[in-house]
Amino acid sequence: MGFLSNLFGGNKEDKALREALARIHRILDDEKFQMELVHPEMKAMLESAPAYDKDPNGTGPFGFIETNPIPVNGPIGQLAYLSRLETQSGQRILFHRLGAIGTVDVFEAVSFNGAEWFILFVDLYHPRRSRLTPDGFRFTKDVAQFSGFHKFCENFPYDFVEKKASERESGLSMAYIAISKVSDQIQNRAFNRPLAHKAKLDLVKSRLSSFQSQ
Amino acid sequence: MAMAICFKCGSAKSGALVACRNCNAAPRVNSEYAVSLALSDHLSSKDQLAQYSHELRNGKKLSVPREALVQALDALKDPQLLAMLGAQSQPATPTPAPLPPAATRQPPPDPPAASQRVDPPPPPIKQEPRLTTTALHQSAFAVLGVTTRDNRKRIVELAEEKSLELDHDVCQKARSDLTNPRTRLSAEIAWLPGVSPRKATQLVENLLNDPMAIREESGLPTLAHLNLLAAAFEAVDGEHDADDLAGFIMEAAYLAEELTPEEVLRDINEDRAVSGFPEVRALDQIEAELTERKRYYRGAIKDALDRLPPMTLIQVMTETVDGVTSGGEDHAPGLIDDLVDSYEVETHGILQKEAENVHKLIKAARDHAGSGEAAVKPYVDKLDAVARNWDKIAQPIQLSSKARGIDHEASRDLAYEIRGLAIDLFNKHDMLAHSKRLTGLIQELFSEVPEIADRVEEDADALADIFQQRKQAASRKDEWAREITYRAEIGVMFKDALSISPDGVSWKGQNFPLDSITRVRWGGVSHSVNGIPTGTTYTIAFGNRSSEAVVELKKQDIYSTFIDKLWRAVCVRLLAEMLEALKAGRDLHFGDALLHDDGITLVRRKFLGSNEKVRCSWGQVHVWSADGSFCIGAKDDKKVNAGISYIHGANTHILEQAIRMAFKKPGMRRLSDLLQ
Repeated sequence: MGFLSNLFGGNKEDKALREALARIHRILDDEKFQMELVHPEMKAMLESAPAYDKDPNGTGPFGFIETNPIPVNGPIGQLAYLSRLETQSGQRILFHRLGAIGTVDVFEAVSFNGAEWFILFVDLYHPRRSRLTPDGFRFTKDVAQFSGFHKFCENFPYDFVEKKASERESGLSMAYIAISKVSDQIQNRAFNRPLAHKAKLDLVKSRLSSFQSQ
Repeated sequence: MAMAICFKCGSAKSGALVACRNCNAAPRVNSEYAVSLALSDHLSSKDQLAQYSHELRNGKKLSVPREALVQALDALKDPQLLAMLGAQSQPATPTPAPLPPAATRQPPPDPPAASQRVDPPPPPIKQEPRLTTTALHQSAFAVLGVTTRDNRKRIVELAEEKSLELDHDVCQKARSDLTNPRTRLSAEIAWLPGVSPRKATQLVENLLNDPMAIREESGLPTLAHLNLLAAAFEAVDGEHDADDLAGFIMEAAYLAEELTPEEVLRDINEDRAVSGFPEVRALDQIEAELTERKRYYRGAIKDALDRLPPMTLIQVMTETVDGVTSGGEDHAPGLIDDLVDSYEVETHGILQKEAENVHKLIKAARDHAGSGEAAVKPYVDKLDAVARNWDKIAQPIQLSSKARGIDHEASRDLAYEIRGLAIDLFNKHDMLAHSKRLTGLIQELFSEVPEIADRVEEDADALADIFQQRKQAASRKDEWAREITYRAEIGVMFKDALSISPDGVSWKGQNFPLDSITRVRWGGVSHSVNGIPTGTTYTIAFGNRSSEAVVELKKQDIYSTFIDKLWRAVCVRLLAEMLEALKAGRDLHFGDALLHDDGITLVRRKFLGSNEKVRCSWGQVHVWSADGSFCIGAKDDKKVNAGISYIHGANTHILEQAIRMAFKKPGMRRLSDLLQ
């Protein structure tokens, strides 16, 4: 905020950008505001769903299997939640949506340094996001700017820069992490899926009931 | 989707672990999972898969290599994969619990070539430099030909022997250094502790013939190896290959990290046990000597660098720091940090001078900004060149600072200076292109300064957004220009052009810029003779405070089209200005009526006596059109009204639009409410 105030101090762009940034901060943090952004019918559906950190009837490792997905509040809530996760070694994650198994969205994720890969299962039909993290994760203390997409990235995560740019139309591009955080890894081709992860992808993809493509 | 073949029937299927559509077989147990993974393009080439398929279809034994199965079994230890397979509770082989449980770790990548320290690539083939002496050859051990295992008596004897051929004082000093317990430790640490006497002699001799060969040695004690490497640095001359030297420095720096006082103490005491000198008891003595020794290594490397041409020196420093820090991401060995600190001290002067040049150029750019973009461009060009030069010199320091988690202050200050210019050029002079260029320059040059990198990336994003907005605004302006532009020929015999465009409205050579037009009126009069219609004459008039152009025409389509364009180009503005004027408290005359923001003063018409003015609020009046006029009357008194001609009264259409729009607004009390 500070730099923008300086950069565009006093002119119309300043005001507009400050408003935009304030809005982006609300998008990142404010669960109620995130709910305002969804379609009224969907909002009603989300609000009528139970608010909990974890499905009491869920089975299997939390967040790592479709029978125990992470509850979050809508699609923006998905971005906000996943962008908050970091591994125990302090690595945040890049992610994209592979598709859905029933009503559970499936995301593929990789740590910023490319060392660890994950498949995460998220249920967006809830009024608030879970306060729990899957095993091996914690919530970052950084400003959790978005680090992934609720759409499919064909060349994940090497197409991060293009996908971020494509969010410009939606007004979300400035809510995303700085490209410099991942540009070196992208340039150095640091992201290579291990065999076990590839096998998981095969399994998950064979079970998707809906998926996106570009 | 991956390509795989079924472990039972050999048919192609879409994923290694999914069921086969041909035979419905799905792997169920660990061995089947492993074979299935091996039978996929994750582990096998297309040709191999074709071969496996053939083998399965013909009942032959599968020729899957053992390595592929081992890899597959290793992958099957992944807990999330097991959970997905429904087999998490029964792993086939006991597995250590990986952390985090569901993370699939990427196998460690090959370290970047620059940071590899095991088996360094051989130096390029070239005429190897030769030495006549090195610091090691000046050691008391080398001078007297004494080994670390010789006792005091032998040292004295050898010193006397050597006195016959060498300078007596030199020999006496060497003897003293080796026999005095206070100075012996320094001499030992500067020599080759832990190396057998014969090997030590051989290594020191080889240094003179092929100094760089010592880099290929393995199995030497760390301290001895470092001392030999330090001596080999003396062979570096101005022609030395930059890449090779960077690699050499990295090897020495990593080796210095492995130096431990315990190992040195052990090696020295082992030799002392043979030579009869008292053992060193205190580790801190060794530590103090090693600190001094590391300072010596830094000096040896620095001396080697100082023999290089300046640009090569910078290149070697940059490659070295880039390599050991993986681009500023990892901590560097302490030796490199020390080296960078020295480099920073030595380059301080030149960096300061270059920074001053940057400041001068920034000032010049600011001073000329008022004269336009062309006047600023030469300064921005020069600034680009000087800043790049500055950055080239500062690069090793920036990388090192980044690796240490600090910002290089001089870089940060300079980047902010340039950024300040970018901001001013944009904010004060609207020079978006120069601003973007400078922002790009900072992004490129100061990417190793995290604070700057993040901030400037946000600047760049903001500028890109503004650039996009401007493009959109320009596009909207173009669209608006297209929408209002129109031209028509009017007249039967002698035609005159009536036109409207962003440049203004023109008629018969008279042009009214759009913003200068303060009044418009228009309307049509139908004619008839004996009740038979003979056509309609349309009038359009527009003008400013001092003059007016009046257009008479017969063609309705031209009339309608022109009025539509005129409305968009002029009337919308006039409507807004009228509402602003009312909001500011001004009253406006329209024929007999006097318009106020909160109502209108009409005329009560009397048959006898003079007319009377009556002020009505908006709630008390209604409007209608009749006989070519816009009429406003009191709801409760038919005699109180005003009729304003559309065709003769200026801006009557605008007034009508304002009132009719306002009447649609619930609870309207003032016309200017429309502005909210």
